[in-house]
Amino acid sequence: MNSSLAADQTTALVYGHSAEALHIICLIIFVFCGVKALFHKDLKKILIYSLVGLVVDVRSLLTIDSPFAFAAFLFHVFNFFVCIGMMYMAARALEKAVGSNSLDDMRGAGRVVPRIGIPLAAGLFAMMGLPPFATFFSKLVMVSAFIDAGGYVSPTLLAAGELLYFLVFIRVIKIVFLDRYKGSPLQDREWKNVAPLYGLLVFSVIGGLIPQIAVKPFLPLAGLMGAPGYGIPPLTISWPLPVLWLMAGAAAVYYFGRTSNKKAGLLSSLVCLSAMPTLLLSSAGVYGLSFAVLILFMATLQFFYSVSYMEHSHHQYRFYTCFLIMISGLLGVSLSQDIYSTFFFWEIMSGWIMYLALAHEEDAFSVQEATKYFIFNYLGAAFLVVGILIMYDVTGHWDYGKMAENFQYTERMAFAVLLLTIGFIMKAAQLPFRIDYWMHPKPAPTPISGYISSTVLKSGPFMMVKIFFIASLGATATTFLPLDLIKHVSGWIGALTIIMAASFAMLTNSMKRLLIFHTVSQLGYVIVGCSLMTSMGLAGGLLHFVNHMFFKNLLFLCAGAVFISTGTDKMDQLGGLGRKMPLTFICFMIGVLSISGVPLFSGFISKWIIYHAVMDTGYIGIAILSLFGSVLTLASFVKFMHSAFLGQMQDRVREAREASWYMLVPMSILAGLSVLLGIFPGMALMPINSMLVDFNLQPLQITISSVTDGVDSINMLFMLAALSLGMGVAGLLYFLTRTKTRKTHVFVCGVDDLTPEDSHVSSVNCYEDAKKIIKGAVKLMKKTIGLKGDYVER
Amino acid sequence: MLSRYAVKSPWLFRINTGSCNGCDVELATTALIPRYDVERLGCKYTGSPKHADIVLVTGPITARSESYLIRMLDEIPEPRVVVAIGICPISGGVYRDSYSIRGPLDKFVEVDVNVSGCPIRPQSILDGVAQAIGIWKEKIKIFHKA
Amino acid sequence: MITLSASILAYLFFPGGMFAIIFGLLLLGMERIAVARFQGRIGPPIFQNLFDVIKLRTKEFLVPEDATNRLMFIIAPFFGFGGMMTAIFILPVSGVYDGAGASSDLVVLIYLMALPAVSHIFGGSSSGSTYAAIAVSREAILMFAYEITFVIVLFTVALQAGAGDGALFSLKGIVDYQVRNGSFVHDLKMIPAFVAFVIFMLATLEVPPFHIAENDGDVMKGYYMEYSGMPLAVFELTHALKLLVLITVLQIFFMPGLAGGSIVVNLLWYMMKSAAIVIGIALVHASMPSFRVDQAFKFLMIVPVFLALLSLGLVLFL
Repeated sequence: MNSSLAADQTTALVYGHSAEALHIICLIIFVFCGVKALFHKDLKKILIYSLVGLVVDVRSLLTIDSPFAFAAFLFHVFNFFVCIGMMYMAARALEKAVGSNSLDDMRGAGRVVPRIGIPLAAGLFAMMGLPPFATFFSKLVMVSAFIDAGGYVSPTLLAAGELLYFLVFIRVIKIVFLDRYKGSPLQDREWKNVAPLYGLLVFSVIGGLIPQIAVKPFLPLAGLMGAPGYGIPPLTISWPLPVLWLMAGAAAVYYFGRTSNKKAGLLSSLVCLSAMPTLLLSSAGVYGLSFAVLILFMATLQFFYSVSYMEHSHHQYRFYTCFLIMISGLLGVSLSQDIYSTFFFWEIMSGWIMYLALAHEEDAFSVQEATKYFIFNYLGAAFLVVGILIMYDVTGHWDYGKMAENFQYTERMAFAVLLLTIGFIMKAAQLPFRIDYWMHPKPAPTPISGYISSTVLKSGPFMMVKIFFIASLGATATTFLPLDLIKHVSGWIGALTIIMAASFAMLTNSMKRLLIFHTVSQLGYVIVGCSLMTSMGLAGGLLHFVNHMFFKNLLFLCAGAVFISTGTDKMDQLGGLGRKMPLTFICFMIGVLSISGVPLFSGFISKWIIYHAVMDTGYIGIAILSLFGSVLTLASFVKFMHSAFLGQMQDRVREAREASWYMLVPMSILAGLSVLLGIFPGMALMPINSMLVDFNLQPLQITISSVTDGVDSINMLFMLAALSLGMGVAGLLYFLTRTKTRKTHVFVCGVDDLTPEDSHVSSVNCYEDAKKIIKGAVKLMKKTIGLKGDYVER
Repeated sequence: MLSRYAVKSPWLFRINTGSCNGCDVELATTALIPRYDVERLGCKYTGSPKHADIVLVTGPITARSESYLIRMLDEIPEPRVVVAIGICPISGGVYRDSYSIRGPLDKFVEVDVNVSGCPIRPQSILDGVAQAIGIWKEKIKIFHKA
Repeated sequence: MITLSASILAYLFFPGGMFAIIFGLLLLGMERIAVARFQGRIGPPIFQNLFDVIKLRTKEFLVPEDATNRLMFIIAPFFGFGGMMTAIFILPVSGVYDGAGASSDLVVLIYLMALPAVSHIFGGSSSGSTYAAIAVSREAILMFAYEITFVIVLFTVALQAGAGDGALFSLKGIVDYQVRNGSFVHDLKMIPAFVAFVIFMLATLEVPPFHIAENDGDVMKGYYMEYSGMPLAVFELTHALKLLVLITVLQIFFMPGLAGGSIVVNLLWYMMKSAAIVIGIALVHASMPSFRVDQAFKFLMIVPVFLALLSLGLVLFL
């Protein structure tokens, strides 16, 4: 009796040990294959290694003893083989065309032979698990199977492992497609020879568009080997009409826009404008709809601006197409009613389309920076996918409303909310660590930089608010604590990011990087406001959300205009532009006054609300940091303003001309909106109030120009009257005296042979003492978290 | 009416056109030591010629400083009073007829008050400033009639 | 309608506008006399700054040819003036004036008080002068250093006045709380904040230990460099108003005690307190040499911030 029990125990032990051993062996193989693939020179071998590695990885699904997992395994492996088969054939064809199997010889070859290149690139993106390929869904189902089995460590590890292979694929893409081809001319394949490749590609894309049907065969197949597969979440995506419209528009731009840049830009602009009426048919709430309207409005302006800006570039239609698809992804995020479609569109928005648009200039620097950002987005999405699937597993619904109804507050759920929060604030480029990965790339074309800064990054706070709302519905007083902690910590992250990014902006010498740092910093305010989830906080956060869209985009467009007319991004090479580009300068000034929160301009009132909200909640540290941040903002923009627009005119600027009307019109619209919203914040607060009602919060007491918080209130019309009366009095004094005006020189102690270079105080000369402190901090960051090179200072 | 109160605030500006520094030392002591406190009269040294009302010129106007002087005088807003401090700007003093001297001052600008001495006494500077204030008052009236 | 015209009167004549400008100019004159007396001089007449302004009205206005943006060069002084007029309008004077309605709020105050610096920066920067550019850089860096002190002191006061029930942002509320419960300057917890605020005030006014951005000695007149005539006069008026605003804020934050029931008595008490503060400033002015900009930056980042945080800690945890 005893001996048999002992034998059983031994068996169990041996079995357990062997399972563990298997795990470890598989892990070793997985890492080995990944590393091997990451450094290998032969394209075909890279593909084989990654196939082996990934299948070994997926194998861990089999240790879960559920038919669902088995079905997921089959589905995923099948999709893998489709992709690898396609890529393998393409790789062989490419090898033949180039005449070598080394990656070095294939540098840039993918673009020279597009018929072979397209399936190869598509396969690589598909292996990353991005839409619109079937692998996106099979991966989702796979992670879902893990979570269904109860664990959340293994899916997280899995996601981390995926990142290794992601690096493998992105390396291949960088080398084969984004480098410049230098070899002898290549012969593309005949269409009929590459037909099987396209067959597989179409198969994969169809699987990606109708996943609910593609997954069907695998359920009975799993059933043949065990119990039938059940529990697979519904995979039907809801496509909002405006998204489809934009996608169709993108296709139209791709085909009709080849002839001229102007045509392509105007067509894209028109597509965005005409998508607005289709929003009426959408049933998303006022929260999503308002965001959607803003998305389309900003996109319209952006394309209009691009007509002139992209003139100097190449293959504009390609850029517009990628940009439009990215916008449609963002639109999908804002309009989706269920978290599953949201994630799908999220991946369209921050996936390979965005990568191609960002790397549009195709020089080494822009490709490198775009790759960094792509990797970072992929990491963020890895957090999201786990979080979303845990939420589904607990509530059993994708739909936001039903999810909120069935929300049960458990530890897993808290973990899911945590993951989602991390994912979303990562999208908003918060977290004060490796800012060089967080920030969207500087060398991308300015219209898309401006759009990402002002609009796309807003999807982070947008979704964060939704998640907090759902979580707070399910929470009771006793279980509220973890959620409260998450919110408080995200508030702190926002506040620290404000300071960090704004102080880095003091250091930098590049116009666009300064603006990008400030995007990060201003989004900190939005995060601080939204993370409070009180009616004041949310209203402030959302108002800043809107205001920031206008003024930050405005600043980007001005910087782009300067870049076009002077050809440099370095502030210390500019000076005295205010005279050459007066209209741009006025627009820029409005942007600066708005972003630093000067009364009567739009940043002021939203910051006012945020400070009040933070203090009402009692987070003094956050309040102090965020108020301090606005001084830093002003200081760094003073540097920009003085160094580029004022001061002495530099040689480079002498030839500069005012921006074209295509640029000035969007700029002045945005400038007008910044002033308008500064004086009449009620215009934005009224829709926000109805959102607050949707979020079960008390609406604010507002009028068109005033906001009231308890005993404190502010009326912008009153401020306008008071300030303009004061300025009027001064003006009256000035004009009543009828002083004579004479023109003279600037006083330089009589010297008349100073060159403008000698007497211009440029950006690098400002704020030496403050910079010393910041440089110390940067050095510390380099040591502790590996911030590389002179990323900040450049 | 305005000129009555306006003259109570003469702001001084010094131009050194190659002086030996004797007069400049006297000017500095006049303003800075409590004994001859010119702030009593509302005087204040300004750093910028654009704020100046009374310009105190020292030195014999060397060749080197000539263009600087002309440019600087142009940067002083009307109505203004030019005071030549010390003998050098009046006649060239010991440097008169030297090859490197472009003076006297009245070649370049209409001098309102001459305060001579080498170096001058602080009392005479004060006296010169007081006289300059009187001339300045008239100039303000003329300037505003025109 | 009556309230509107009362507001306009308050804005243009009393306690804002005319009264504030003249009182501010007198305080400046008083400061100059006090400095002169501390140095053993006689000093100018008390109306000196008023004469300066009148004088500047008679002068020509020079516009530098190399100014990068003439329009901005001309309108820059108006920003600060408007801001200060508004600030003095919304500030309550205890026992005399309640401040302009519900809009008298600490957060608004922070931004309004930054406006003179903004107008210095814009004016100096657009003039095209190198001295002005250096002064602008210095002004911005000092602003960066002293503003953090101000923010912390402000929250300390707001929390103390909130009396454990969150923060009280209304200026009127802060005054009323102190009238009821005794001035904060008598409260030991608030003494470090008081000292920090005084340092902030000196730095904002740019009197000697912080006479850096417009120091005659090394950057001539800094951002005022290229200004002359009426715009310079507007800057002078702004400076006078700024002095008065800072003094009033100091009184609101720390010593808004009343002297009696009648408005006249309280007004005289307010003016006496202001004069006393100005003489205190003059004492510092006369006895201190000036910092270099890096020393000032270090000092401002360490000493007043520490003091203000000390007070904040005491208020929060005691």
